[in-house]
Amino acid sequence: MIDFERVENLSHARCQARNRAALLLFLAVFLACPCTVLAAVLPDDRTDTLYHYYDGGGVTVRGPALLVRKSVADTVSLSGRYYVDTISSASIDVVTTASPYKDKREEFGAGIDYLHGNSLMGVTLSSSKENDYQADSFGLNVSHDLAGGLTTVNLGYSQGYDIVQRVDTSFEEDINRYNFRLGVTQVLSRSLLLGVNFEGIAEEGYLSNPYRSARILGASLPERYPGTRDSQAVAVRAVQAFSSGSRPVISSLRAEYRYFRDNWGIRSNTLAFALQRYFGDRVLGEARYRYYQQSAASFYSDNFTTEMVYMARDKELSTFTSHSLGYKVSWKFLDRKYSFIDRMSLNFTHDYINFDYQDFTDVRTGEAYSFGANVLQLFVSAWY
Amino acid sequence: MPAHSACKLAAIALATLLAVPVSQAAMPTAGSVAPDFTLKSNGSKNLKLSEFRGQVVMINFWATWCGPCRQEMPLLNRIQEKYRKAGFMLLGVNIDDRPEAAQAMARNLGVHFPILFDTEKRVSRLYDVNAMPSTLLIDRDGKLRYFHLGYRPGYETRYESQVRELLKK
Amino acid sequence: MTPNRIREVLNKSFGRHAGESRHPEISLTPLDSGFRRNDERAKGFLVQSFLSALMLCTLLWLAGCAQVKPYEREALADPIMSFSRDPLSDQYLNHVYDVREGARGATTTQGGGCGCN
Repeated sequence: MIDFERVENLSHARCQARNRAALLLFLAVFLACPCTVLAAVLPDDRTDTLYHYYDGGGVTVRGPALLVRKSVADTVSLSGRYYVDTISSASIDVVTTASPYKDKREEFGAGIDYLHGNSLMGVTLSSSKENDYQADSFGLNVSHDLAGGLTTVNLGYSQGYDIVQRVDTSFEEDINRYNFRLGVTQVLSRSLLLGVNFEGIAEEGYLSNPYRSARILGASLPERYPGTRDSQAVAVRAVQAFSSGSRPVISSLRAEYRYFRDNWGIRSNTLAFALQRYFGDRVLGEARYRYYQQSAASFYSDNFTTEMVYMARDKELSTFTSHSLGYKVSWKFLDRKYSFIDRMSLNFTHDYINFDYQDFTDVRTGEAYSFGANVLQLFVSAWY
Repeated sequence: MPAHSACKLAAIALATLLAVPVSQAAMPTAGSVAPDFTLKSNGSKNLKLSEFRGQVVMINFWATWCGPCRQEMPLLNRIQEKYRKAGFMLLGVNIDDRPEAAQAMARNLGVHFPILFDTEKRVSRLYDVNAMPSTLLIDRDGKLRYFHLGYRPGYETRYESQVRELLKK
Repeated sequence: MTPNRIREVLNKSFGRHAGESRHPEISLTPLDSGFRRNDERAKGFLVQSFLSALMLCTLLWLAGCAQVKPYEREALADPIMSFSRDPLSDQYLNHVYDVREGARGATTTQGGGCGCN
């Protein structure tokens, strides 16, 4: 009699051993490259002051954002981030089950990057707070240049702790989140770059929204979510430079594809393109398009017919597609040194995103829900 | 993709690595005569390397888009000012496609040593420049003595002691 | 972090059974054994996709290694050749998508925490 469990365990162990061996082989191959020396560099010193505005689906979110980065002693880069969302929400979730509300979310972030030889090591801390949600996280990142800077390997880990509450009761639950990131960027030619990124996320805790309800045969009941969510995402990106007679790079085309899957049954594909072009010495224009498609979570339904262990009616877990078209204009209004500032630019972006849900109904109309949103950004960047 | 084919591909990758001929230093070796070249400079005339025979010459390959190069240049400028009278010459060979960008940056950084424009990368190929920046030291007999690949804070003290050593000879 | 805790965290990410909820009185139905199978497949997928990515890049790196000289990298150093030219702006736009979509991760920016429910 064949012991299937034992066979499965053995082959699993063998599989793990093979994977470990392949991994070591790749590390050996990477380190063995006899190519030349080109030091990694700290990120640019810069300050960005941004104002953002989102309007769509009955929700308006606006606010400032600030990023300040300064290097110290040639080997350390310090950064600070401040971000605010002021939300006026009359979204479909809110309007069909409650009443419109206003909220404000504030987020602070800080980071230190340390350059040592060909490696850049960084630590980041971040804390976000609104009246019914608190999220804190810390992250570690290591980026290493190999092959004379032609290959860069990136490893990242972050850990987050969220506290979920309700404004009207003493409800309180929490979430633990772990992210693992791995990426490789490779120079393929004088004008072509390729990047591959992987990110695995493990979450456990209260993963649903305490205000949202599911529907069963038309009636409401509280949602029931699994206590964990594990996901993996793989993305491939490439950038191609185009030259003209007057300059080595006049324009670039960026393409990216991301595949996402999780253990809630969601599968999604993202495809995006961006074309950037210089117009003269001071103006840079960008046109971008993004396509997103996802299939619903296995425990999602617009209207359940029987009671299940897990039930969700969050439209973010439904089957939908979204198309996004946008443009960005950057004007380098200061292109020579002024006091301690090297250059400054003024930037404006506008993206229009259309969401088309296949199995989420707008209960006000009985039709499948869809909406469009405008996302605007205006920001000033200074380099020093 | 099952694990066994992952390993097969890994083996192929390793085999390819071993088979690929590693392109390496056509770079002149230390002790050999530094190859001569003539390049347009930011001064009035072209500059030829052999013109400086009898002086200690430092050649610094740099580019406007290279961060460590921009860091290093003001420090090189200081070395140039200090030892110029003792018979030291510093030549900055810029490899940008556009000389105007290089000139503007050299002005911004406040460097006074001559900038030579290697827009066609002829000299970079001649010296098989393998890192940016690359700094070479040539003695009074025109022989290549030291080379430094890349720049890290602290290299400038090494440059100074080597320049002093070569000036004594 | 002790070795046991590290093992626990890795287990949670790559081997955990999603069916466990915070309410032990809800018994596991056939729906949950589906989660268990997904988990093991997810773990396998994770390792295989990671290896495939590494493999792809090793081969491409071998192809690229000998051919691009440092003095030929002017185009690559241009800001429009970076995957994320303005980190603050890109981080904001990625956040806009993350909050409204089921997918997260593998973007060009690293996000902080948020109240995304």
